[in-house]
Order: sequence, then C-alpha cells, then structure tokens
Amino acid sequence: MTAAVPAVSARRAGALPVTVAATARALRTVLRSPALLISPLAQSLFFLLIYSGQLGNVGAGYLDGQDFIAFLLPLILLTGVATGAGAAGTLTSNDLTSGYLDRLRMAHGTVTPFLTGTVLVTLVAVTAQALLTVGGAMIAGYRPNTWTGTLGMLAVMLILGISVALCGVAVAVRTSSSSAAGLVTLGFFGLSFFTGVFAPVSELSGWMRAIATVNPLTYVIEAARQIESGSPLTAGPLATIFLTTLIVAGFAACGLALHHARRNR
Amino acid sequence: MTKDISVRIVGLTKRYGERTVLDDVSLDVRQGGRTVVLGPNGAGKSTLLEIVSTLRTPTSGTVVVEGHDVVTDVRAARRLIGLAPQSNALDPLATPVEVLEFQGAALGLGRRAARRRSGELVELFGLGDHQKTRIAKLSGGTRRKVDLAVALVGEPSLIVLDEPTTGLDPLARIEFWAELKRLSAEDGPRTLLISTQDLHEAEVLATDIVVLREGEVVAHDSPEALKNRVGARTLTLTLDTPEATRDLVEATRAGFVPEPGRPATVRLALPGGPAVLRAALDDIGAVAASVEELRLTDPSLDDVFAVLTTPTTRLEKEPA
Repeated sequence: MTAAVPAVSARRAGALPVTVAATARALRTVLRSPALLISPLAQSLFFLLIYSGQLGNVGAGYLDGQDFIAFLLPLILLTGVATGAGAAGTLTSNDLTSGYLDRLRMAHGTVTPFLTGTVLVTLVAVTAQALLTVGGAMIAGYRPNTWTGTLGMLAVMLILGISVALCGVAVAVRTSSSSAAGLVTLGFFGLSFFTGVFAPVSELSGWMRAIATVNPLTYVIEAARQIESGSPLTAGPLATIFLTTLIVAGFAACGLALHHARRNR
Repeated sequence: MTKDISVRIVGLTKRYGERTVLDDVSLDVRQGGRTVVLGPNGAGKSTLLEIVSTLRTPTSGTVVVEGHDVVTDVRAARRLIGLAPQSNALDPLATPVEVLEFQGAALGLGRRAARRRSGELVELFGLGDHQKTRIAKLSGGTRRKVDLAVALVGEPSLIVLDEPTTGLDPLARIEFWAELKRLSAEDGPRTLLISTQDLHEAEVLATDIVVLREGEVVAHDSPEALKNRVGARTLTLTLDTPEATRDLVEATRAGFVPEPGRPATVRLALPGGPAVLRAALDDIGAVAASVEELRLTDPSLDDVFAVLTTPTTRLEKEPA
C-alpha cells in the first residue's frame, strides 16, 4: 500500500470548495447526458416553429401590430424552463437511488453542497437553452425590441427556473423517484397552457379566462411580455409576489424534505 | 473500549414503525479482522451495516467505532469508515479517476492531494487501463474494484462492505476476494466488516462470523469454532424416497434434520461423545432397506447454517 495522505481524518471539508467540486461534477454529468440538454431545447423550438407557422398571420391581426413571436416567446421559454429545470430532480433522484448521495453525505457530512451544485448547473443549462431558443426565434423572425428587454424576460424565466429546480430536488429527496420529480415539470408545463397562450387574457372566452385570471403563471408570462416590449409593468407586482413565494416554497420544501430524510434514517 | 475492538455494538435495536429489523444486537468487531455478517434476506444485515456506517440511526442502543459514537460523535466516526454499499454507488457517467478525485474533494482533500490519492488507488487496484473509461462501461468486477477504491480514499481504518460480490461472475468474485484479503493483510490494522448471504464467501473471507436471523445475533465466533460447535463431523444420509426421509425425521432419536432443497436427504451433526452416534446407528438401522448413500464429512458453514435454520437454535459462545 502506498503512503497515506496526511490529515484526511483531521479536518472537515469547507462547504465552498465542495460546492465548487460538486458543481463541476454536475456540469460534467449534464454535458455527458445530451438528452438533458437537447430535449427541452428541441421542445421549445418545436413549439415555436409550429405555433408561429400556424398562428403567425392570425395573431398579427388581433395583436394590434404586435409581433406574434415576441408575444409567444415568454410561454415558449417558460415551457422550456419547466422541462430543463426539472432535470435537477432527475439528477438528484439518480444519485439517491444509486446510493451515491449517501456515500457523498458520509464523506462530507451533509448533502447540501451536492444538491446546490446540481441546482446551479441546471440553471446554467436552462440559461443556455433559453438563449438558444431566443436565437431560434430570431431565425424565425423575432427582433428584440431592446436587448435589455429580452434579457429581462430571460431573467424572469430563470427566476422561475430556480423554483422549479428547487421543487424538483425537494420531491426527489422526499420520494427518491425520478418520475415523481418529473411531476413538478408536468405541473408547471400544464399550468402554463392555462394562461394567455396565443392571445391576451382579456380576449379569452368564458372558463378559460376565469382560470387564466387566477393562474399565477399568467402574471409571470404577462410581466415577461411587458418587460420584453417595454410596456408599463402592470403585471409586475403579482408576478413578483408569485415568484418570491415560489422560491421561498422551493427552499422550504428542500429543507423539509431533508429534515424528513434525517428523521427517518 | 479495549484497544483491539474496532466496533462495539451494545443493545442495538432498529424499528420501522411496528417492524423490528434489529433486536437488541450486541457484538464486538475485532480490530484488524475480517468479520462477516451472515444471514438470509431480511435478517437485518444491511441495516446493521448502515447503522455502523452512520447512514441510519438506531432506535435504541449504541454503536461505537474506535471510541466514537456513531450518533453523538458522528463526524469523527465517519472519518474512520469507508463504505462500499450493496449496489455500485458510483457516478456511472464519470471515469474511475474522476470519481476518486471527487470523493477526495468531498472529504476535504485539496485538488493536488486528491489527485495523488486517486493515482495511488488506481495503481493499487490495477485500474490503469480503465482510468479513462466511464464507469457505466466497466465490467461488474472492475466496477466493484472502483467501489472499494472509493471507500479507501479517506484512508479509513474500518471498511464496511455490503454484499460485495453480488452479481459478479465466479472469476471476478475470486479476484475480488483476493483483493480484500490482500488489503486486510498488507495494509496495517484495517478492519473489514462484510455482509453476505453466500456461505462460500464467508468461508473464504472470514476471520470472525456473525450469524443474524430475524434481526438477532444467533452466533458469533471464528469459523472454526462455529463449525466445531455445530458438530465435529456431519453424517449425511440419502434414502430412496422422500416418504422414507419424512418417516426418519419424524421418528429420529439422534436428531436428523432434512437437508434444505433435497427431499430425500437428511443430515446430522455429530458431537464428540458416542451417545448421538449410537442413536444415529439405531435410526439408520430402522430404515436400512431404504438407504441409498451415507457420507461422513467434516463440518462446513453449510452445517452451521443448517443448524441455525431451526428457529429455536442459538449457538452460545463456549466458556473459555
């Protein structure tokens, strides 16, 4: 046996270097799992292509000259973010079911740096996917009103992505099931279609308008549209309340799930 | 805690709701030994190892690893333990070197130290040819070596292996056993705590054996001592029909028991004195017309297990 590395047992690893290492490891995992990157992007571009191709001319009529792709883009980004950020839950449940996360917990003492690394890398991947989706939209004819507005719209979606990732991780920790973690994506994805998808909420009919009015995602999408177009930010307060609540709920859910796991060991 | 005890378990009980998985388990694991925990599925082996490894907490009782309680002094205890769980708990998309270096980072090694330690372990386990291959593409035996190497990154004094050769082909199993024996023999006072349900594996590896049944320790001793207590030798008798066997088991005075999985065969552990032998000869005389084969063999762990399958059996340690 070769010489022992000194002081391995003498100190505990600091959280920051372990988080950096865990982030690098999560990045490597995502880069080696092309489906995690390509699938949300392909889905976003597919919806963009189909919806703009089928409804572009109709939309231009009832949107008072507003660009239909610009109107559609926040929803397309939201569905991509919901799918892409859901990967955090999948990656976490993979590590849990294989026992690898237990092993890392034994080595470091807590799982927090490893979960943080997964969430951070998921957000990097979601950012890349969102930028590529905007690139795809530009090829299809989208022209940013201002780049600041477009980046602001992306920022809103990324904040939503943080909460989706946190909720996905929480469900994975609580259930150790990737299909259960996938329900978080499904929930956001489904809810996103009960908003003003192709037309403003005021133009929707009957029951759909009622649902869209109480659907918090409506205000997130609306706020993103307003930021992108430079319009007055009337949806901003409700969107801020909803996104803040979601992020707090995401952190709380992770904390509760970890607490439950500790208590039931 | 005496100096030659690596793990001391006292009154350990683990319950999940109403279900008791471990029931008042007490045992000492000798430092530098290879202690094998034997038992059928559901006996509580994995739970016992997970509690020793700090992954689960006991309902009651204490587990102390080299002076550190696994509940109240968990951080210090963890530093002494290297775990190779039942399944390959590895990152399938990483290479062995990446997994080893990441484990080093998780343990608090600097990048350079983690790289050096990884290099040492790659060399120790002969992983040089596979160091750039992703773990998902490695053979089962090589994956298990990586698993063991990861358990050793922190230079632990106690290595816990949960069913280490499950799913390996015979050749890979033999290689892995040799690796474990080498590790134990050449690497200072390193203690191995291994669970298995494979009697042959226990026979090959164990310096001490703990037999668990339904969450209780029913035997704990060296393999030789356990065999000797089961019986100096074993008499195995095969009759021409299962019916004849059943009649013999019902009428036996010596204590013949059915051989699991062989309906026409019975066995009897023979202790030192003549009384059981004479009773056995009487039993055999009564079914002499049905006898097809009779063998007298030295005891094995199979015999220990056969005796322990009788629900009331408990092999107490012989007085010194």
